[in-house]
Amino acid sequence: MTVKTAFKYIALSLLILFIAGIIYVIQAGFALVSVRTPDTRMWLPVPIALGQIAGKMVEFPLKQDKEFQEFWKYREEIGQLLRLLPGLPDADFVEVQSAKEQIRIFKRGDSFCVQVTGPDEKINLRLPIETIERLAEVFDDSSPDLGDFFASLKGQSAGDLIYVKTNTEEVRISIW
Amino acid sequence: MKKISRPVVAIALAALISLPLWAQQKKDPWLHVEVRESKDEPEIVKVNLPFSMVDVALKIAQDKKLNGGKFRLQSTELSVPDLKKIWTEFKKAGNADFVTVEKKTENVKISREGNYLLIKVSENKQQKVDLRVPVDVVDALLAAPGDELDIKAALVAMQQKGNSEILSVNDKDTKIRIWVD
Repeated sequence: MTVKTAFKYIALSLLILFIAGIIYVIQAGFALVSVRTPDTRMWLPVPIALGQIAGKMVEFPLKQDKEFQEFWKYREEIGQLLRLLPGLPDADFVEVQSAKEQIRIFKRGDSFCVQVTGPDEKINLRLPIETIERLAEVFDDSSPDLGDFFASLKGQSAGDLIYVKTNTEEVRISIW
Repeated sequence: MKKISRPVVAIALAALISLPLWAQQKKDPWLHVEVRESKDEPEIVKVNLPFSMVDVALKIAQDKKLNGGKFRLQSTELSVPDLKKIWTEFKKAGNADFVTVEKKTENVKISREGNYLLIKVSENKQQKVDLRVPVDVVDALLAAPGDELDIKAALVAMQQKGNSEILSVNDKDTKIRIWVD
């Protein structure tokens, strides 16, 4: 084999690896983050695969937050609750209706949903059951990183995950 | 012998396959709580949870008084040991009216009928509180040692009872209903 041929094979291997990487990124999906405020309009597609890799190198932002630490003490129990959800039938778990706000937490088909409607805000959260099952695994880890949370979004069906609208801002995170 | 048609076989197979799933769903009863308030700002709260979730939620309960599913009753008038003594005597009496209070505008009656403890309160001849608790649930509630009420054991006993209305309260402004199915 000549040096030229060797370089040709190396270049070809790198090209195949690059294409495989692109396919993997596309297959994992994109999280689209859209933010609208009076001063800002942002639309940012985040490849989930890259977010997972980058998240491994970044400390989870809320780790030092006292409220999060208090919440994280019950991670095993929360993981148990998450694991129960996929086996449950479609049901309305919590429903609150008052003059000022409506709150619904329910399961429909393959989605777990939270809807909050108030005079100043509207929140819609939809988590596919597959994401919940993966999130339950994240809660098994005593020290998760941001990459673990990104990993739970991999390969999900397209659609809105989170939608928050207040008087001054609108945030939408969806999977594409 | 008559041939069995394919649709009949398919339906029978589907029923057999879904039977374990149906049985699994049937195994885990659900706790339902409904509160309706009709004050200045009407409000309706409905909670429907399978007992398996209620059990886990009890572990998370942040209330300092609710520790591991046990509730410490802090009453200066009636302690849990006193309640246990009263309950033991009530049980020995069997089916009976334990307490009957009749006032001009209010009637209170605590009695036992079969396997249920009944507490009824009425005001101006209108039913306000209608509490119907299985005896087993009261036994479980009072089973914890010391001055604690074992909420978790009471929920387990409720779960074993299956279909049952536990509590119904009808007030002028508030209606509360708790049941299991």
